[in-house]
This record gives sequence, C-alpha cells and structure tokens, in this order.
Amino acid sequence: MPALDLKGCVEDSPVFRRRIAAHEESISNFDSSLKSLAKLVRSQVDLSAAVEFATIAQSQDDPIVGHALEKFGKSLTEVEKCRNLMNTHITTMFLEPLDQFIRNELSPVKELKKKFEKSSDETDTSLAKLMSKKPKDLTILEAARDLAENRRRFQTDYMEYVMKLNEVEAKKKFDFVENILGYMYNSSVFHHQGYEILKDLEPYMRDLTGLLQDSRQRYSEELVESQSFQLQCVKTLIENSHISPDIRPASPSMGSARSSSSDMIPKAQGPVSKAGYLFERKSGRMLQSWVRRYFSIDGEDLIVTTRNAKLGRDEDQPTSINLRVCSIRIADNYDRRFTFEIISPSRVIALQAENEADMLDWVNSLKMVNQLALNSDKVLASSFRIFGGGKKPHAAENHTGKKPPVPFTEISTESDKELIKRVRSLPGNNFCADCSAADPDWASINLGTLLCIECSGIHRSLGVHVSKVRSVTLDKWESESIEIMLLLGNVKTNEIFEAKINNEKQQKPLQPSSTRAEKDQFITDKYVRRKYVLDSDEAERENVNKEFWAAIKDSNLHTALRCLALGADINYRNPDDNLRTALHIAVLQEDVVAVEFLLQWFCDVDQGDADGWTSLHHAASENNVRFVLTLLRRHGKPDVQNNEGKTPLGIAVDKQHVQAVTALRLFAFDKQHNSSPASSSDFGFREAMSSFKSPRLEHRNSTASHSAVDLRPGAASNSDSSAVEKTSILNDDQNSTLLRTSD
Amino acid sequence: MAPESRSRKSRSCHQIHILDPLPPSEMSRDDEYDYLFKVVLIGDSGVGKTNLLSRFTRNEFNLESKSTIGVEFATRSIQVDSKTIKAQIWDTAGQERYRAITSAYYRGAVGALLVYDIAKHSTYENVTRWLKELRDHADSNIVIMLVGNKSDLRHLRAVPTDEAKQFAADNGLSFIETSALDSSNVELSFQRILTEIYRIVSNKALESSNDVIRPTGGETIVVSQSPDDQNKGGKCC
Repeated sequence: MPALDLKGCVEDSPVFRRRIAAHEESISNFDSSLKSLAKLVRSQVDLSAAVEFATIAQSQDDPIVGHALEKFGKSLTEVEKCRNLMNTHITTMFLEPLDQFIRNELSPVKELKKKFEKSSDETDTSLAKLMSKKPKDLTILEAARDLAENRRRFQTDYMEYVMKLNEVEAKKKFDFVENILGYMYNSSVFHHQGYEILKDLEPYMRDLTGLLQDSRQRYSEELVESQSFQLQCVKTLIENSHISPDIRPASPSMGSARSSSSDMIPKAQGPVSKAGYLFERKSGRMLQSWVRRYFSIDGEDLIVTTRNAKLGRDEDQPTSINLRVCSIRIADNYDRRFTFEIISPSRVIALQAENEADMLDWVNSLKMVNQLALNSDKVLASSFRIFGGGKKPHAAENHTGKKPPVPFTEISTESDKELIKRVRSLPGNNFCADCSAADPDWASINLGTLLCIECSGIHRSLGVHVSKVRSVTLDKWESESIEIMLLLGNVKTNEIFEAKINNEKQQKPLQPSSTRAEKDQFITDKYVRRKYVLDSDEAERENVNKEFWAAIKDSNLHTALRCLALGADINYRNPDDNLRTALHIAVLQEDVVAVEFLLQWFCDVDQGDADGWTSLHHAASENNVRFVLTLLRRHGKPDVQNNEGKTPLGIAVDKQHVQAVTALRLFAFDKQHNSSPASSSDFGFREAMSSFKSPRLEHRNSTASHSAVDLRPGAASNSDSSAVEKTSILNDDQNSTLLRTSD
Repeated sequence: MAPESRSRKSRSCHQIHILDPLPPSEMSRDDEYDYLFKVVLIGDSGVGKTNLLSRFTRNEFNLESKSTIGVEFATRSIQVDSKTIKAQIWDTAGQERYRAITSAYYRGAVGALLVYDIAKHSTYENVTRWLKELRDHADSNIVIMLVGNKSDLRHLRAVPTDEAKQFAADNGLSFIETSALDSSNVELSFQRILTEIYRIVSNKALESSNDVIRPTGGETIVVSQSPDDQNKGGKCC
C-alpha cells in the first residue's frame, strides 16, 4: 500500500480521507490476523507419541519389537526435544517481538485515530460556528481565533496520525517480515534436525521391515499348519471316540487333544520325542490326588511342567528326570486305569495316561529313551547338562534354550569372515594345494595354501617348522595370518614348490584319489626335500639371503617364500644395514604382515643388530605396543641388553614412551605372578593388553568373567559367586590368547 | 592353600602380623597366600605414591625419584587372622600424559589408596577428581582410603588434618596421614586397607558359600519325601 503523503493532511480531501480509511482497515485486519497467528503458534501441541512408544516398549516381551519401539521412542523424544527447542526459540524470537509489535505499533494507531477524529470534529464545529456568525457579531474574532487554534491542533494530530499509519505500513514490511523470517529459519532448523535424527534410523527401519515381512510370512505359514493340525485333531478325536469306548471324556483343550492323538504325530527317527499331559499321583498325608501335568521327553530327560504354574510353589516348577537312571513299568497296583510307574533312584513317579494306547506309547517311548541312554557312551551328562543323583535344583534353567558354550575357536567378526572368503576365492584356492581335492577347509598358514583334510594331516606330521596347519572354519584367525594367506595362495606357493612340475608341463603326481602313502611321499618330497623347487645356480645361492632380506623389506612375501625354499637364512644379518635381520626391518617398517610371516617361520626373535638392539628394542623405541606385545608373546626376551646396557624397557622409559613402558611392565609382572597355573585371577592385565590393540584385532566377544579376588583353593569353589562384584570384560578371552597363545 | 598357613590357625583372631618385607627377587616366589588383593595407588603427580609403595614393599625411600611412567607394580604379603594376604599394588602415574590404560588400572582392584600431599593444597583439592575417576572406572565396592602423605613436612602443612578427616568421613573413606620419608603410618595404612578388604571379602565369601549350599539342601527334601511317599502308597493300597 502506498505511503500517505503528509501534504494530504493540509488539503484534507475526501479522497485522502478514503485512503486513510483503507489504511486503517488494512491495519486492523493485520492486527487481528497477527493475534490469531500468535494464538496458533502458541497452541502447537507436543506429540506425545514418543512417550507413548516408550511406555509400550517397556511392556513388550518380544525383544525385537521392544527394541524397535524403544529405539523409535528415543528418536522421537530426540525430535520432540528439538521441537521444544524450536518452540522456545519461537517464543523468544517471534512471539514476543510480535506482541511488542502489536503493543507498540498497532495499539497507538487507535489512540491517535481517536485524537485525530476528535480534533477533526472540533475543527469542523468551530468552523461551522464561525461561519454561522452574523457579520456584525463581535464574537467573530474570538471564534476565528478558536478555529485557528483548533485547526492548528487538528493539523498536528492529523499529521501525527498519518505518520503513524505510514510507520506501521513500513514496519510491517521490515520488522514484521524479519520476525517471520526468523520463524521460518527456526522451523527449517527444526525440520532439518528432525530429518537428521530420523535419517539415522533409516537403515534400522529397513532391517525391521524385512524382519516384519519374515515374521508375517512365518505367521501365515504357521497359521495354515496349525489350522490343518487342528482339523486333524478334531477328526482324530471323533474317530477315537468311535473306536475306543475306553476313552475318558477328554477336555476340549488343545493339550489333551495333542496327548491323545500322539499316534498320528509322525514318529521322528533317531531321538525319541513324546510329549503330552499325564496324571501324576501326589500323595498327601491323608489322601492321594492325581494332578495333571505336562510331560515331555527331551534327549534322555523327562521334563515335567505344570500348566498354570503358580509362582513360588516349588512343586509347580518345571523339573526334569534323567531317564537313564530310571526304570519304567506298567503298574496295576493303583485304583485307576492306564497307570505306569517311573522308578528313579530317589522316588517312584506314578503316572496315568488317558487311554491304553497312549499309556503303551508312553511306556514304550520312555523305555526306548532309557535304552538309548544306557547304550550311549556319553558320560552322565547330556548336552552339557550335569545331573547329580536325580535332578538339579534349578532344572528349569537347563532347558530354557541355553546354548552350549560357543567353542573358543570361532571366527567372530564379519570382516574377518569376509577376508577368509576372499582367501577362498583366490585363484587355485578352490582345490587342495597338494592333491587338488575340491573345497579344501584347511590351511597351512606359513605356506599360505589351502589343503584338504587328509593332506593337512600329512602337513601336521611334517612339523610346524615346515607347515603350520589351521582350520579355515573352526580355528581363530588373526588378521595378519589372513593377510599372509591373501598375499600367497595355492597358485603362488605352488609356483615355488612345484616349479619343476609346472615348467616341464608334467602331470601332477597326486590326485584326490591317491593313496595315503602316495600323498605322504609327495608332500614330504615337496616341502621337506623341496624336490620340485627350481634349482638355483651357484651365484643365486650366494645372493639368496640378500634377496630374501630385500623381499621382506619390499613386503614381497612371495619372493621371500621362494628364497626360503631356496634355503635362505631367515636370520640373515645384512652387513649393508647395520647387521639388521629381516625381522628388524619389518618391525622398523611397521610391517605387521611381514613380522607375522617371519615369526611363523621361526626367525630368531632375540637376534641383535650391530648395536645389540633386538627387534623388541626397536619396537619399544618406536613405542609400537602392538609389536612389543607380539614379540613378547613369541618369547622375545624383555631383558636383553643392547651394547649400551639398555633393555627395551630402559629405552622406552628414557624415551618416555608411556604405552611401551606400560606394556613391558604389565607383561613382566603378569608373567612373574601368573606363572603358577593355580592362579586364575586376572587383575586387568588382559584388559590392559587389549586396550593397546588396534580395533582391527579385537574380534572376540566373550562374557568370561573373572573374580577380583583370588580365593585360593580352599575357597575356590566359591569363587564364581565370590565377594567383590565381578565384571565381565569383553575381549577377555582374546587377551588371554594374546598373552598365552605361545604357551 | 599353603600348609604353612593352615598351621597358623591357632593364632588369635584379628591379630595382624606383617611379614618382613622381602627382597624383590624372593617376592615373586612367595606364591603361597590365601587371598590376593589388587590395590591401586592414585593421586596427583608428586604426592609420593611411588615412595609409599617402595617404603611398604622394599623399605626404600628415594628423595629424587622421577615421575612414574605408565604403571609400576609391587607385591607384599601380610598376615591377617592367620591368613596370608598378598597385596598386588599398582602404582599409577599421577600425570595424565604418563597414563596409558586408565580403565585397566582399576579393573579388579578391591582397594584404592588415594594419596595427596598435606603440604600442597591443590593435590587435596583434586581428591574429588580422583574419586570421580574411581566412580567411573572402578568396582563400586572398592575400598578407598584417603592418605595424606608427607606428614613430616609439619611446618609446610597446607591441609588441616581435621578438614581431611571430615572430608573422608563425609565420603565414606578411611583416612590416615603418612610419611614415606620417616615411615610413619605407612605400614599401618596398607594394613588397615587390606584388613578392611579381607573382612568384606571373607564375609561375602561366607554368604556366597551359604548360597551354594542351600539348593543342595532343597534337593534332600525331595529325596526324603519320596520314600515316605511310597510307604504311604503301600499302606493305602
């Protein structure tokens, strides 16, 4: 709207008045819309969904759903926090200035308007008064003065008012729009933050969608299955009631249907499985009662559970009876039909089935389990369970799906699995390096080859100085070893050890079907006698040590291995480089893989250079904790003195290499005090060791706990539940490997 | 358990007998102990942790000792209630830049000597910081003793004994003032903390051993019930 010209005040034309009126209307509209806007902004309600999610999450028993809700709740709470922040910002940066604007700019307009209208009226009246005076009236002068006075006031008020109107109009443009701008920025920040927060959830949400899809499908499959099962059950029940007049009125519950229809459940081959409701005799002091409980055969145990178990009642707790030590017989000394007894060393359990067939089936199944258990050569412990003289106090714990302890040797990180996959995909690694059998699962980690199980056995018999055998699937792999495997591989290693066969285009003498003796012969020839390694001439033999040394320096393991096959001395001290060995160089170059390779080939860890520095000296001097620990656990001597009489520790202390000092001291102290096998305590040594390591290496998650207090043999049995609270440390086991693998 | 320590059972309760400090070389061999406790020494740089340790374990004091780098270890055994308690003491660097593996220092520690210098008020002020570190990294049941070291510097005292005592009481710590230089209270401080730990541990061990026994007792009930059970059945029928 164009600004009002102050000149108009002087003219005071109706046109100008109309323009003023238009201005007034626009301002009052603006005023009311501002007020409603403020109201709207204030009333922005917080979403309570976040809180709601959190509450639901707590009541969820499904860990996935619970976790998801919790996660979403957290993120939404986070978003709500941002919203709150935005709201406060808006209040201080938008609403308050807006209020102020209304108060300071818009409200005065009304007052000024009143003032203006009043003086306008007054002027009009005095003008009219003056005009109505008779020509001779003496008061003309007075009225004229009055009018002049009023006119002057009117002019002032008029101008003031118009100026105010102009001001509002102008301020509307910058002040107000500035506020709006601030508001927009605020909400943009909020939405951006909200987006950032929720974006992080996206991968998880995608995973969850997949999971949900899976479980939906599973559910529909289960539904179909259970519906058909239900139908079948109903049918069988009807048939049974026709056939057998013996049957007791069965309760319509699913459980009873299952128990009486056990004959239609296909019998599993191998381990006997049977489950269903039976009546168990309970004898009180005065009278005996028969209680209906659920029995199921699990391995060689009979698990007894009670439906609607009441908490706290001992007899309702699930118990298990080891059937190996029980005998089973049909009993007729009870005043009920279809009874049989399980006689365990501690008690006699009298049970009643619902019909004769079921009873016979139970007795047969139990007897079969009993037979199987007796014939199995397992110790009295089935699947990691130990039963002492009948039942364990908290048998329930034993069959709640506790997995048997995961074997210690398992590759646990995805990345390492990934690496091993890469090892398998190297050219030639799909067949055994020696006999070409497909899909080899064993490896020689110093030769860098994959082997079939039979050849790996022969490799083992050659000794670790020739070949170090490890399982690809079962053993734990350090990433360095995998790297070595990746740098070598069947093709590259055979280029060295089968060079003659390859060169003369001979048929490989070994087939997967070759006899054990043939394999034995060939593998010994290949690796011990090195019969197929290319002959080297005299000059080459001279240089092979230097070549080996240079190969390690270049991290070229293939050449290094070839030199070793040609008889290079792994501990060769290079006179051109201060009598350093290859290990010195690898340590100084921080070449983890080369160090590992050299150690696997049993280089002399304690070999000194011209200054009497061992590799451990160098590692300590470089503050390379990883090498310090690697060398120590390969029996590097920590107390070797260099030509200046300094030990590695001394050097590290001089150089104030905190980590190296700590590692050396820790190792020494641990060795000194944990040397006796009786002491199983750990006092943070392992954790200390692990905290040095690069994250790449930390791949064992173990919940092994250790006691802070070493209760000596006398109290050793209690150490598990011992005094000071125990803390489980991740990576604990790995650290122990780090410390003790060399033993 | 060492047969030797069994034979000491005749000693009266609560009697504490400190074995003479052994030379370090022999110390590694005294593997016969009933309890092994890990104790950490913490506190600001220069308050005398290393000298407290050397006084206690080797009866040595070095006026010109350098800053500890990383961590140092020492052990010593004492007798409490005819039990041999071996203390494995971790002397940590007070200076942040000489610390490498903070959380591992505290792992498995059952006791902590939090040392300050009575002649240097800032080391006392930092006690709260060290307490926080203990809270963050150590077991919540760790026994903590506040140790005001250098009590020989009477004329330079900057931290009043009563104030520190009150602070210790408020925070549930034991309190003692020591001097590694003139040996006063050094033995006593270690004795006290080890005894306190021993009391807690032996009580808890007792409790937990009860726990182990109880379920076995539960089983006996079932066994004794069943013959009864059978007799009843026989009579009835």
